[in-house]
Amino acid sequence: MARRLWIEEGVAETGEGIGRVLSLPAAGSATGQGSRSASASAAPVLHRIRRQSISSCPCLVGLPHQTDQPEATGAPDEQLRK
Amino acid sequence: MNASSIRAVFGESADPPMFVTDNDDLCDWLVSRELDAQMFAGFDGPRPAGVVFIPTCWEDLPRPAALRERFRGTQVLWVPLAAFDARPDAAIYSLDLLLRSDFGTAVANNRVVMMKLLAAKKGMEFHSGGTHLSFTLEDDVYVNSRTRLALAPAEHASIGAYFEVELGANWVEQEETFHVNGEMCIQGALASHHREMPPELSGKVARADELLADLRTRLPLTVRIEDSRVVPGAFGDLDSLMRELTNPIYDGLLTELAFGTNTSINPHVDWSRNSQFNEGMGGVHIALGDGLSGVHFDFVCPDGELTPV
Repeated sequence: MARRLWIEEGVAETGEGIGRVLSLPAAGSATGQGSRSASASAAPVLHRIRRQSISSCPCLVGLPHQTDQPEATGAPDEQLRK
Repeated sequence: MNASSIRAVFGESADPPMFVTDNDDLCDWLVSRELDAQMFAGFDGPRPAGVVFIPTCWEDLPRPAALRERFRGTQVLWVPLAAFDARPDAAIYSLDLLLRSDFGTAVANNRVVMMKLLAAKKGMEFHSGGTHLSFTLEDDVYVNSRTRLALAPAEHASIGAYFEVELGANWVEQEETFHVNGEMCIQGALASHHREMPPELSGKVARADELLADLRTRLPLTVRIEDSRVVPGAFGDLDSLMRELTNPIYDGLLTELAFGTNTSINPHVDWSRNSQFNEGMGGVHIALGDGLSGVHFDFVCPDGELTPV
């Protein structure tokens, strides 16, 4: 299984996290969210990400998360697609 | 100074952001730099498109839902000085580094680190003079960081996300998605806490300042890490206090692994300061404690080479 990065970049005014999921396609594949020759800027599909708890790192502290969301999901958010 | 860099966070064509803080001295300092600054208490007029929000005291800050309402429709870049040392001289040191930061370069550096994480077959290695760390990675790795320079409409983000790639726990299972072994030569140390830390634990924050001052006299200090835990005795006679202040339940388990990417500030970093900017300057940092049930201590090795393996 190819590695996936679940990246949280910020928080929407709804309190949900905003992020993206990055992965590399298998060698020779023409599909996927990125490509081995491309930078991570490829496929700029943003997702709303729900997280169960705040980060262990207080450098991200204060962000107005809703911390009671029960699940994480990587469903794309069309409104945030750029 | 690189104040123009921060403007790109709010989009190239946007007006300059408004700096909003809860501290009179910082507000005056920002105005003296010819920046548009306003006290949070008076932030009730027409909302600007973008705000750099600089809280220095958690106690007076509205709860998250109220904050979201206060900033409704506004892009907000958070500079959470309240989590670290927000006393006036330390706060101005941090804001000086904020204005020296190159956000575009940091985000580009974030992407490079993420591509290494994706490309790694097993994990990563980090080597410098006295630091030799190896990391193995799970198939799903949870990351806090920015891949985009500009904020989305009404998005909130922390400078921490701009200036480091932080590997955290799986958000659902609460399990770490990385494993660390090796030894690390600590050059700098920081202490911080979340606003959600229970008031009865606030005494730990004051004691952390004293521990930090003592620890700094012993740096550089090399510690050994086995199975993502700092081995007992790594901090000598400070071990027991470190364990108590961070929460003994962790038993030395690392709560953070991150790579700093704000390399533009490197010549200006002062390790005697407890500033969030110091951990983002580059290299690798690890941490003990979660900032909620105890203090969060960061340990920084600012130089070295990160290689996928």
